Amino acid sequence: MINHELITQAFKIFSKLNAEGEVLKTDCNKFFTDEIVRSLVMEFANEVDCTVVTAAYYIYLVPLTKNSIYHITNSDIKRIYFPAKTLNMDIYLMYVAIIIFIGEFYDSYQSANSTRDFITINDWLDSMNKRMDSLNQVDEETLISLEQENEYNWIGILKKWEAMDNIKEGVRKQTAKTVSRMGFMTIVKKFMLDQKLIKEIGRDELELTEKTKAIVGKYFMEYEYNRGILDVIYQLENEEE
Amino acid sequence: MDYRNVTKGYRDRIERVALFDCLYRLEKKQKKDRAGNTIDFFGLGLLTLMFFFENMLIRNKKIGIMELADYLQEVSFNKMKLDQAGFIEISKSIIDVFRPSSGKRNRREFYNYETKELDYVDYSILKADSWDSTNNIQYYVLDEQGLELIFATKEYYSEFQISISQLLLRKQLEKGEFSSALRQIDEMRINVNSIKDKIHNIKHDIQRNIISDETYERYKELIGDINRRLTREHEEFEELMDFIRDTQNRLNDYIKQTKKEKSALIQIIKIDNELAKVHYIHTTLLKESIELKTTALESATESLYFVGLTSFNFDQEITRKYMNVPLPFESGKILASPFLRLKNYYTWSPLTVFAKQKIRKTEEQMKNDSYIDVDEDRELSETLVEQQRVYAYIVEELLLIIKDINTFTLKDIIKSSKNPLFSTREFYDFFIILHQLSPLNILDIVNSREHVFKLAFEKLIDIGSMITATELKEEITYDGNYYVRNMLIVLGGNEDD
Repeated sequence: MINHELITQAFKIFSKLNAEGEVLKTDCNKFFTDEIVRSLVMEFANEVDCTVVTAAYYIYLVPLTKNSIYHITNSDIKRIYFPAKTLNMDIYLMYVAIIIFIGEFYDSYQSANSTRDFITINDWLDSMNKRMDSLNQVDEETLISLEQENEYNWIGILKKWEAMDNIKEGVRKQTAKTVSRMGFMTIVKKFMLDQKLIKEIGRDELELTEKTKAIVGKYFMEYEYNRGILDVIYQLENEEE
Repeated sequence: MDYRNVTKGYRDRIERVALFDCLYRLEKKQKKDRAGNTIDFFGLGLLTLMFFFENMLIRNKKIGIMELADYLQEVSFNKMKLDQAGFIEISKSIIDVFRPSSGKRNRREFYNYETKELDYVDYSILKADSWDSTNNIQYYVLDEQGLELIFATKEYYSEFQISISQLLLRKQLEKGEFSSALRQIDEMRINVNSIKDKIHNIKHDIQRNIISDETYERYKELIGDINRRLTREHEEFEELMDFIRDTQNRLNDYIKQTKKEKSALIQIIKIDNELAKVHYIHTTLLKESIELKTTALESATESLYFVGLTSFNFDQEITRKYMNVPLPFESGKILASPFLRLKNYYTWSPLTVFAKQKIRKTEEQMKNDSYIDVDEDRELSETLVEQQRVYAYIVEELLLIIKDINTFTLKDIIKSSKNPLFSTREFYDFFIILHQLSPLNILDIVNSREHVFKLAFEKLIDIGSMITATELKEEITYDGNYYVRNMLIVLGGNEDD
């Protein structure tokens, strides 16, 4: 029999996570000091396809799959961040942009320690262009079989990227509304800021939040989670060298 | 000594006592016959009850005032000096006491020493059963308490009536008194039917009255009792049935069957049949009482919910409170909070970047990338698909009816045959939409994925290129459910129609 008091403690912590997604470490000492409370909270999170990640001053509730009830839907993402008439393909392209953004901090996922403090949006765009170009060198056949194998829209993503210009000439300011690669990056940046994945520290300088670092360190390098998607994006570079 | 135990179930006891009220009320009637003797209304009342009971046994349901008058005259032969009219008068007044003509139930009010408050019991001795409208005669039968009163004049409680009947029946069968056994079964049938009524009443009571836990508990106990009792009786019935079968087999095995044995056999077969009927009713009751056990709670919660619903007025309780005295914003939040959802955090997980994606055909993307074609990405809604199927089915049916005629009216269709389709809403919707869109190019429709007629018109492609619907003057209907203007449908033709 588990002590009633401990169950209540665990429930309190979890219900706070349920409402806010994060709890200050100082507000949930029991999570760190009491084995039972901790395993209960983990158990609860597990039941709703989530995990609890500890980073800096907070613990965070992180969905492990997009089927979790806490996970925002694609249609919501489109509605909030993208211009009208957006397809899922835009969102998939955004995912690749995010992978590449994070990759810049971890030396193309070669190391578990971050190798950079911040990145500018221009560097990010360059890196994105480089990766997408090398992906474009791969012949159609291989891409099609990769699509099936990874269940990942490589071709669609590439096409989407190819169809956009780097910047729209004649427009003085590149905003999210401009249909261009820079405009697209702006959308992704806004999304990542909102989701507290990155912070803006100086003029156009972006760094990863502790939360992101914790999640990346714990899950991104695991094949079980990245399903070889990283290999596709990064081994191409190795082939070139 | 605990005095509370003494008063326990006070109401139920009063209920038993109140059964006899009617008889005493009759006794108070001061009427004299022509010889100047006071008429014995008390006795006549009891006789009346017995008369109704006897008729129930022989399943004679047509008992009205005239029949009762004849019977009373017969029974009280020479006891009273009255002519027929006098007896009819008496019958009327007796029935009036047993079943007040005001339509109000008989009621006894009393002070309930158990609950320490005023209380009452209602009882109904007779009820109207059916009536002969041509001659305007009303027929009566004994109601629940009427039966109880009859049984109360015997020496045992009606609760054990069936069990006692079962015991008697067994004894009678063992002794071979088959004709009285049959009668016993008839009595049983009446008993079972009265339980049936009781169960139905309880059912309705529960749905109406449960608004407190206390009443719920009381009903639960009551239903539990009934259930236990029925279960017990059920077992006994089973044994009786076996017993009768054995007796039957034994009689069958006699090699030289005397006349007496033959008639016994015939009777036992009859007994077997009758008992089986009673047993069947009884079994369904048992099922019902089990259902009651489960539905009681449901009904209870339901009625509680509705009580809450009717007594709660959002406008009064919430809106006006908030608006009339302008409350500070914070308290508005507090007022509204019971109606709001729990806060729930939504987030996006970085792990989703690796999630499996739906792979779409590449050819489709080749078309154009800068302009997004909405249609590509949209799934047809379920209702649309459903509708398309329904209309396709309607066209299939139509084709069977029209064969190869390509000009017909809606009237022709519904007069052509009996088809349950013609009494559905969808059938007429189909024609109304058709009329609205007329004239239609069949091929165009087939090529547009989201048109409600797409699937339907696929079946028409071979017949023609156009379809038109023209309204006619008259209104038509198939079975009075829906009325629609008749229309002329033309299949085939050209664009310039």
